[in-house]
Amino acid sequence: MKALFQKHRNETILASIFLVLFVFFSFASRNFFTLSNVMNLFSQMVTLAFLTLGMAASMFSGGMDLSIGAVCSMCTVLCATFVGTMGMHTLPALLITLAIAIACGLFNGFLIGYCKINSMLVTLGTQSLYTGIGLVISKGVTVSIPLDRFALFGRTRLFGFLPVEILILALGILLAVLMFSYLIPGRRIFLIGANPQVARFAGINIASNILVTYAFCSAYAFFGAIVLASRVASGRADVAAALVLKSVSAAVFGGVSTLGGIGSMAGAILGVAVIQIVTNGMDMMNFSTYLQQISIGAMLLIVLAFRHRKRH
Amino acid sequence: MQSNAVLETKKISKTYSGIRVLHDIDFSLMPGEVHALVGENGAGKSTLIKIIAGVEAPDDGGELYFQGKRIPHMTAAKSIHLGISVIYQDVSLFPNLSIAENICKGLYHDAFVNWKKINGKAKEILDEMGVQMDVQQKLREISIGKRQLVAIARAITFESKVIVMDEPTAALSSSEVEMLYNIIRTLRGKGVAIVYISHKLDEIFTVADRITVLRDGERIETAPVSEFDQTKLINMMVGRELRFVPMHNHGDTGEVLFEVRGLTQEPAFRDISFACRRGEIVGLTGLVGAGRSELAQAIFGLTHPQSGEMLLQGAPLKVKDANDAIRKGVCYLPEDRRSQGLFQGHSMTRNITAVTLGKQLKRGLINAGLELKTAEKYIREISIRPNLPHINVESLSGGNQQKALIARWLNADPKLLIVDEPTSGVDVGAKLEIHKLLRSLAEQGVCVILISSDLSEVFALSDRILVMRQGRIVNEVAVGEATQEGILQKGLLG
Repeated sequence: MKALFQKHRNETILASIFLVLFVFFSFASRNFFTLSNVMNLFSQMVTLAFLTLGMAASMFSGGMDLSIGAVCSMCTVLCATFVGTMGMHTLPALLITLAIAIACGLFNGFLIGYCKINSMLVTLGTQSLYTGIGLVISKGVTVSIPLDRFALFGRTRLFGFLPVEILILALGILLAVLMFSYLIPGRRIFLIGANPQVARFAGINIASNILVTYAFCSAYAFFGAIVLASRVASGRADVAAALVLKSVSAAVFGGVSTLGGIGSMAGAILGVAVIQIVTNGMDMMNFSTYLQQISIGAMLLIVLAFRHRKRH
Repeated sequence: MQSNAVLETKKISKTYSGIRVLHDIDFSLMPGEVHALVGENGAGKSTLIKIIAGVEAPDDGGELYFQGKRIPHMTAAKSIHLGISVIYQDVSLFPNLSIAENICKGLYHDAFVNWKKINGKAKEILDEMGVQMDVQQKLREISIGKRQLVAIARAITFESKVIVMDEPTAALSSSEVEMLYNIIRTLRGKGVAIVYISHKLDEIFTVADRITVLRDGERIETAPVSEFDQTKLINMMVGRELRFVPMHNHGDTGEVLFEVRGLTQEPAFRDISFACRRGEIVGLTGLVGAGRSELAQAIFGLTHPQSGEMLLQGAPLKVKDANDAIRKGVCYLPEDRRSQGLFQGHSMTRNITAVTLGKQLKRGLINAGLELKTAEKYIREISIRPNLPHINVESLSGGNQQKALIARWLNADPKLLIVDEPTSGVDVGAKLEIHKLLRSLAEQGVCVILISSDLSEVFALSDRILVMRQGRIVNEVAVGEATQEGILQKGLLG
């Protein structure tokens, strides 16, 4: 047990912070520890969580996918257009959207892995490209979805209390952990991130694994998108733009190194959870959103400074 | 030690993540002397310079004196202030500023730039050096060789008491070299102390007053230049005495296992043909840059030769990439542990299993238990210390890092194992262990190609020696017939 904590020290610390904050807010605010708020807390974080998992994957490989927000937004537009405007059935709409999202990821991965262009430069460019495509399809306006359609992923509660998106996220976390802790491609992505030159000398095909990484990022942006589109019953070409930097900070907060090769999916998700509980808890205590920003920023800096000091 | 030394180090040591690269170095520099620092790559010359320049801090216990005064914590700023100038190989100047600005940067503190003063001063210094240059030209417009001269002019402008020149002639034309010699003589006359690092021995005999030889991080000798000759110096650099227990194959070697015919990859190597037998260790030696590592990397599938063929167990061997090579039993332990071998920040276990993840699966998933078992097996069999599979591989000593990397390849069941400088940066005890390990591998039927610059190692371990020079195999000898002098003459000196 002790060895387990040692090995997952970072995750243990983050989980402890989460629990302490949970208990604190439960006592500090009467509205916090209620079934509906706790469910709300989790369901609010779903889209950011999916983007953070994707962001973490790109960071494991030693890069950074700045286009996931654009892919996510574009996917909401696509879903809304297919289901809302065109009246398509849900399943084919989802499959087509997923295919387009993965194509976007493969395009990123191709430019980064095979053409060997810096990942931030590539995704800075494709971010604009994908946003543009979303704008063209949506003609720059919010595309709405009829309220009786596409409700399953963000507006449905099982047994009257359990939001479906929490189950989707649970599945997403499971798959991400499986991929990056138990499957060979995931391990290879970590090793590439640790040092691409060493990976090359260990017979690891860098380009093809990078391709997989960025396809994974975009697929996760897609999952974030369907929850978001369902929740707000619409799609908009810039709806997730602000989440990109948030996902970077959540991942870094969760112990994912910007230098590559270090971190875990569990850590990344705990990073999101801690940020979310601070936001939600302070909401419940009626603190202003300005103060929330300051608190989250301060918390991030303290944890990073602490971690940095430990390493040196 | 004489007290009039301008710079002196006492028992300076330096350890990088467990690897000791400098060991108790005493070094002294007199005013007005040219002190040559010689040694092979990795002998510790650059590290010593970095410590003197305050870029790296020495391990505790070492002492640094400047003009007899102890400097407890040398920093780069302090060393510049004291008058120590280092002219690095990759010159550290400002390419977009003029020659004059580069020479005088930081000299004047006028409120406004006084171009007349700057240009005049630069011109004066260059004239004094006997160098003709347009001081208003941008630095990036002149040759690398001229930039070296600008760097020296800068050191003179700031009245440096110590100037370190790291391979100053590498980019100079022969007339510029003459110019440099004259400048050095003038500086010496003015009492400036010069540390002169060079691989070119004839240069050293031309300019140096004293020579210090470093090898494997230790100071082998310091003496006036008159006490050396070329052969003695080479022997001291490479370590002539046989330091290793010879371990040769006593039984018969088996059939030809691996063969290369006419392998060519311009400009690195051409027309390489040789064969190795089962159970044999073939030494491949030559100077750095002879094409040895390039050849190994081509066999391993990292690069693709233009022509020639390879055979493994009599069948043609075609490798698409390194992964394919590994699958076919061809493995390569690269030369540089830090940049090519180790996954820094990852555990010893992960480093060992990195190329054999397919063997760590249980029901399709990577199984931590299996991985641990693999690591523990090698920790036991080739005694990697400490016995901590989860330890960060960076905190292992050099020898144990190397053993972990060898374990990585052992687990891939190699038929042919190419080891590139397997014992560089490894202490003597671990060297011996690695030698035994390679020999026992050969006895188990693996064909081992040993690339090494350390002749005594090649002699101790190889059954046959191939010497490469400028991309060709120039000599092949059975170990009994070869002498180190012969190899030196044929391969190294040419």
